[in-house]
Amino acid sequence: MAELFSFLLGLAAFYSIYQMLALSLNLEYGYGGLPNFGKVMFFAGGAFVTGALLTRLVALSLGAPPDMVWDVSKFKIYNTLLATRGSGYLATNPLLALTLFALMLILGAGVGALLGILASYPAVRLREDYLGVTLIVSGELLRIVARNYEPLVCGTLGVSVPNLFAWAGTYSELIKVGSMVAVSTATVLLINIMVNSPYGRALRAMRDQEAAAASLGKDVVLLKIKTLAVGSAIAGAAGSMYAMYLGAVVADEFTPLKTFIVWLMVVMGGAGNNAGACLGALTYIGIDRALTLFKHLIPLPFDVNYLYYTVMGVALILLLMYRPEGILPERPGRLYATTEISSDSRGGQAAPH
Amino acid sequence: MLLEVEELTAGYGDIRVIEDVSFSLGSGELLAVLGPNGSGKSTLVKAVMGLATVHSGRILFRGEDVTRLKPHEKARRGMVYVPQMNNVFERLTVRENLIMAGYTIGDELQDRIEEVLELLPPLRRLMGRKAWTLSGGERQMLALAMALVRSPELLILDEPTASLAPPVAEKIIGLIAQIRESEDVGIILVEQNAKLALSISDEALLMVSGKQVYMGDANKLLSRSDLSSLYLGVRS
Amino acid sequence: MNVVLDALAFSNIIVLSSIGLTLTYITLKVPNFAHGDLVTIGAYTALAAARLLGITPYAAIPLAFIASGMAALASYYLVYRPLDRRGAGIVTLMIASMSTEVILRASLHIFADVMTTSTKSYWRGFLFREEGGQLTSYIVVSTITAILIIISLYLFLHRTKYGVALRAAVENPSLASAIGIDVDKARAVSWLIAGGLAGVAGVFMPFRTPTDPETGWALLLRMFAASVLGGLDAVFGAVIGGYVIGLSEVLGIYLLSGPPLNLSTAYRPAIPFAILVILLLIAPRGLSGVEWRRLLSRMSRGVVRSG
Repeated sequence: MAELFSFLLGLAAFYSIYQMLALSLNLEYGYGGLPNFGKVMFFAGGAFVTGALLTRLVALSLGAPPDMVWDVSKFKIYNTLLATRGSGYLATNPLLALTLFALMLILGAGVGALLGILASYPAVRLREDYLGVTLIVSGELLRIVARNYEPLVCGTLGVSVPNLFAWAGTYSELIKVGSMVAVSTATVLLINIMVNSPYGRALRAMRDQEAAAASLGKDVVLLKIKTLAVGSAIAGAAGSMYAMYLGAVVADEFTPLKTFIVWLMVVMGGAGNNAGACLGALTYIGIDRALTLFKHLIPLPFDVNYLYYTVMGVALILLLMYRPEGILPERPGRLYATTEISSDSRGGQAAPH
Repeated sequence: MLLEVEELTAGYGDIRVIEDVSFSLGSGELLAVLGPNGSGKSTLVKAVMGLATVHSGRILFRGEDVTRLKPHEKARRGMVYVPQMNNVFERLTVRENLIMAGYTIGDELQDRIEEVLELLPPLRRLMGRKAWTLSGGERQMLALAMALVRSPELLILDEPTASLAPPVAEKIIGLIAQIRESEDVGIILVEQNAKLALSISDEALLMVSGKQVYMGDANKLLSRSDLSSLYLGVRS
Repeated sequence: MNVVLDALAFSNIIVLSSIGLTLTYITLKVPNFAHGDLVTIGAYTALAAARLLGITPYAAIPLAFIASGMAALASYYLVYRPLDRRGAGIVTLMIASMSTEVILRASLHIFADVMTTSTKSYWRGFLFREEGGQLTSYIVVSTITAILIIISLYLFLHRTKYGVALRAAVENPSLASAIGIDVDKARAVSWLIAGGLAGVAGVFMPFRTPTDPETGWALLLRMFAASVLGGLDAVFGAVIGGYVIGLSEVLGIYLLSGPPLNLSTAYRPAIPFAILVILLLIAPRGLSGVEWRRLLSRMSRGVVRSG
């Protein structure tokens, strides 16, 4: 029974994080037509800033010797110890802990937004294929820098992050996950408000007929920048949450595979539909968590996760072929109906349809 | 009779562009298809080639009903269509373009290319040039040559002089007239420049808003002052 | 001097794979994110040949060509062609490209793990060491192979009817099919060659880097930089692009890691990345965007004037 409960908590935790990621991609791509192939970069931004700052901040307020915090060679060794001590200290100081939680989320969102605004420069100028390459490659570069620039997240070793919910005692996991779900639910509400506002309508107009929308006076460039900023802020906040949940940040985790997973969720659930994005996230995380639980029961000469990724890759391709609109297609109210998941064209003549 | 079109109604998908067009063309004849912008001239010839949707009507080529055939099947029967744009391989040289045009021809290809170069001599000195470096007129000549390499029985030219300067346009029209004289081919010439086209055509078909407004002798069209001044910008 | 030779060997690998990357891009207008994994497949084919058949990796070059070529062909027939037929747009194709990449890389991991368990030897982090400690022979072989392949490819594409037809088909599919060229087959052959070349590049990879299923993917960044630099519409531009990228990366980090910057060599990827991003933002057409005719005539005019 306790096992089931902890499974559900883990499910809820990862779901809340990926729900935010899926919603952010859905906003950018499903509603805005902006193919963000670098989602992991913004996610990583939030995680890295949390990893870089949280342990250090807590250690300093604990009164730890400054050189242990700022001298990278020392921090590399002592960060786990500092994190544990920090958790203990925060256990007696719930107010500080919760403030830090909120602060990290805001910082994560801020860094995400900043990166999003940076990314909007190429996003506005480049064609989709060049943009895709730029974003994927940028994400990898961020990972390589984080992996080697030790002051950030201690390079390949990674950095430990204190538990901000130790004060809740036996209920700490529950409260932690509950807070995460609260954040992600707030995100759902926020996105719904945005999407049903004039901004949301302008966004869809831009997606469906960019030239027409521009001629109607919608500032398309500003719209794109805003959307990427918001989407990336959400991804950054999710990254922050991810770091705080796992209790550690390792640069090498943030590979384009995560971007692929978010795309899978959005396409599977249904692009252009928030409920779809959530459903996609839930489905993927459900299978992923179940697999983690039952992994040891499957005797294979290789890590079953690789098989999982292979199957997921095939699933996404099949979806693109046979059900590109996903499980929950976008509700009518679009400017015109298409069965393509995107009304983009490929440099050639568009066929009249 | 080389080509017979009976009450052709066609367009793109469900959209209807031309209605009830009928005409016929014999081998060695030149038919000009004229009309203002958007009148359906291009759609007509595309429908004949199978590049637009035929809603109703018949197309007979040498007596055979080819209405439902795919474009490459029509091409194989000797119906060659030269589109207005993208009608040459830009990154290939002129020589490579001609060889490609004769892709399905066997050993006689070199001889055939020689024959075509006799008709269009300016291409000889351009053989090694990449097609994208050619001027507009030279490109049209190449497109024509590529069509001729395939020894067509029916040659459909879609606005060959569009975007060409007047002297060059005249030259191209002159070449087309020459082709008509020396090759055993029926030509359908879709043209914006009515005066030029009529100067070399036997028959003319005038399209207005998708409907056939005149079909008959080319010279007689010129003398129809109502039509020629209204639709063709030609003072008779 | 050693650095230059190493740069050359590195460049050979990039050149061979970038030619393929440009080729797939010209054919279907979609960036093939799986191209790096096609290189890794070549590496593992060579390893398998060496370990299971006892032949030297060089002899496995044709096998690597076939293995990666087949993988590329499979992705064309199973993924890109069906999607293209359904009228998929560029974003859909890119998602499919990303998915194919995940499938190939995960499969490589499975292969490595299965082989490790069943042969009780390590199939990750492997290196091809040459007997006699002659590090330079693979540089010679890779350079000769690269040159031979470039020449053969040129002859094929420009001096054979089939090669010219292939160029025609990928440039203007509708005109080509009107002429009677089988555009679908041309595309398939194009992908086969592209994959095959990546496989050959993969054979040389383990001579200089410990290779595991992720190594080819790491190389993708350089391949894109090389292809974009050479011009994504010019197959042989990738040759120039590849050598420029390879040489600038190896020589660049060699210079930068010394005084006064003392940059860690781990920042190597920053060099091709910087080149790629700058290119994409300023000159996305790469070398194709340079108007050679105008440049040459301006230069020759300059010579005449000063003469």
